[in-house]
Amino acid sequence: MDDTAEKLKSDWFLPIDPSEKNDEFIAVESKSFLSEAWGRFKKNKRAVFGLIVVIFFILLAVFGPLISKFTYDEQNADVLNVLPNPTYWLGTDKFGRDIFTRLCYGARISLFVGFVSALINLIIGVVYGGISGYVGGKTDMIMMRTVDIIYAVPSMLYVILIMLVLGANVKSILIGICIPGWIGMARQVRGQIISLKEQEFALAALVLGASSRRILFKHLTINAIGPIIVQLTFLVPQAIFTEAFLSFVGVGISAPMASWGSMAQDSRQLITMYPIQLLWPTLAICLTIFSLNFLGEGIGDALNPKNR
Amino acid sequence: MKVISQFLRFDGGDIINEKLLEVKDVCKYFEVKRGYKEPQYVKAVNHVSFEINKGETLGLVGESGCGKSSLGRTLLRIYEPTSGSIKYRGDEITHLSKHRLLPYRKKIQMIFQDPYASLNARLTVGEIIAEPMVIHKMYNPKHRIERVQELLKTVGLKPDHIRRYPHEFSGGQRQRIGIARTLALDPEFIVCDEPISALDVSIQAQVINLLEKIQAERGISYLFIAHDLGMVKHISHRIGVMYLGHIVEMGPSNEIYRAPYHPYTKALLSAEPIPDPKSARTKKRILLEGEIPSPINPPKGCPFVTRCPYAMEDCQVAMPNSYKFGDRLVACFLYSPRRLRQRENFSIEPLLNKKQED
Repeated sequence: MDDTAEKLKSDWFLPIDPSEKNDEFIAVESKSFLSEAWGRFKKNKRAVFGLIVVIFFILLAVFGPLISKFTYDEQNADVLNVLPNPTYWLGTDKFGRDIFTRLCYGARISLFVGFVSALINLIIGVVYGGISGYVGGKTDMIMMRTVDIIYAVPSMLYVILIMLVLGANVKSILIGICIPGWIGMARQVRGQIISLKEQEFALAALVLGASSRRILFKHLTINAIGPIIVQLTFLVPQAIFTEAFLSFVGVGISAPMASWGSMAQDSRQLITMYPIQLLWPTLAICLTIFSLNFLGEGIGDALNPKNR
Repeated sequence: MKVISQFLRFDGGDIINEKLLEVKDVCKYFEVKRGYKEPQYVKAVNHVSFEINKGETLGLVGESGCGKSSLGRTLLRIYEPTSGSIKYRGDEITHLSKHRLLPYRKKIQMIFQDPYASLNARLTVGEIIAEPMVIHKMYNPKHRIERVQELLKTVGLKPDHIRRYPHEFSGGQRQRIGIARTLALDPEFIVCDEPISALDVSIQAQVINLLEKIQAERGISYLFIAHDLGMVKHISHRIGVMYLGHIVEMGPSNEIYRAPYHPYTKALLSAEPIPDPKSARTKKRILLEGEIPSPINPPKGCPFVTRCPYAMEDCQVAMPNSYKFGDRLVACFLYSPRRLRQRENFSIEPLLNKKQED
């Protein structure tokens, strides 16, 4: 002990210069909220798998028809119901149409319906739910009862009625999905806004003199972004599924246009002889919906700050 | 009734005898709906009056749920006052519309309790501190950044923290970011709603010293809401003691701590811990019996009547007025002129000791 004491000499130690004092220094690298969430997302294998599959289908929808030699409605009586081979990658259907090409066109319709309806539902739901939750009182009461009335009518009824008026096409499917589709988002956002608006950062903005619009969109909605994105990623598969279902029961996309649902319906009749024709559209629907659900779950976990 | 505060000097800050904020008879009742029954009211703030002078700190103490924070928030029009009047430099601001209130928002500001909840987690520190200047259209964007950096230096942070997010800071640092945000508007009056109660004891002094430094430099007035009695005594020139929505006693802080008049103040101050075991053991504590009555059904007379060791018949019937002694106001019948005439001696200490021995 004494030896060490001798070895330490007093001139080794100097008082620190006050200007060098750095007690407010933050060692950790500055990271924005989203880059941190991306770091967490990357660690979730299922979510990354979901993202890759979704990107794959998007690429298929955009570039698939370009690399294929056939069109979706080109019939060829010489090659009815052939099995997959080098010319017809996934085989042909009962009219001799190339299934791969039709699958790509089906992906266009399914993904278009899924993402566009989700976007419309996002905008309507966030604005409606945000206003309802923020204003509160009687306005909230009236707005939410309106929502209840819209929700009370079965959503299929809207779709079928609109089909009758506007005809069976993508536009009427979109409108039919969107009329009741934004309700879940509106309710979710309203609940978030109600709990956030009592928090001190919202009161601070109020005291600073911020307008209601500024508080609602700059402070409250941005803090509810996690649940909103999660809700959004569940809206997409829901819309894709609705479109497939409608086309399957025969009120959706009309022939010769291809959608995954109508392809499944066409091949259903040949299920005992050529079951592989049914495999492709169902596989596409299942994979997309699974992946989008994984993706939604992964984004939800990544955006939850408690998982930090 | 007039509250007088004069001659008080605090190290650094000068109190100028110039009324900044006048609060008169302010009430805030919250409606509680109970199904089909008639609506009931939580009387959070009940006929509160006081004045704050320029450069002065008024401390507000009281136990949880007594209406301290509600009062602070009512002054800032976060809650709309049920009745009464709030005047800022003589201008009535009680019922101004949101738009017309805007210029006063610049002058009256607030520091919040929870440094984790009071900053928007999705904005950078620079955006948070610049926001008040954006709302009030002060300076141009380039000048704003300079001013944000200046404010960060004022509160002891580094100018390059501007791009950081709030979650990267400690509680004390965040509270200082919150202070920088309020200072961006150059306010004259700040309501500090328990600014230190969520902080570590070692950090509390840092924030308190900063608040005092700012007061000395800029002559800002504070309404300092807290339940840490020692800290309130340290920072306040005057103190108001609240119980069940009423201010039961108000006066210069040193005098109130030396000789509390109101029975509730006596009990409250006797509960203050002493950081010395020897003297703490000899100290007599007044233990109040029972709970605070519900603010939905407050007692008919004096709010403190259910727990007061000196309660008399009068107390059951009517709410006592605030009686004035020099600079102090006490809302208790023990100090009414009639009672005082009955008692030869001003002190009620013997009564108190007898109660303790029982």
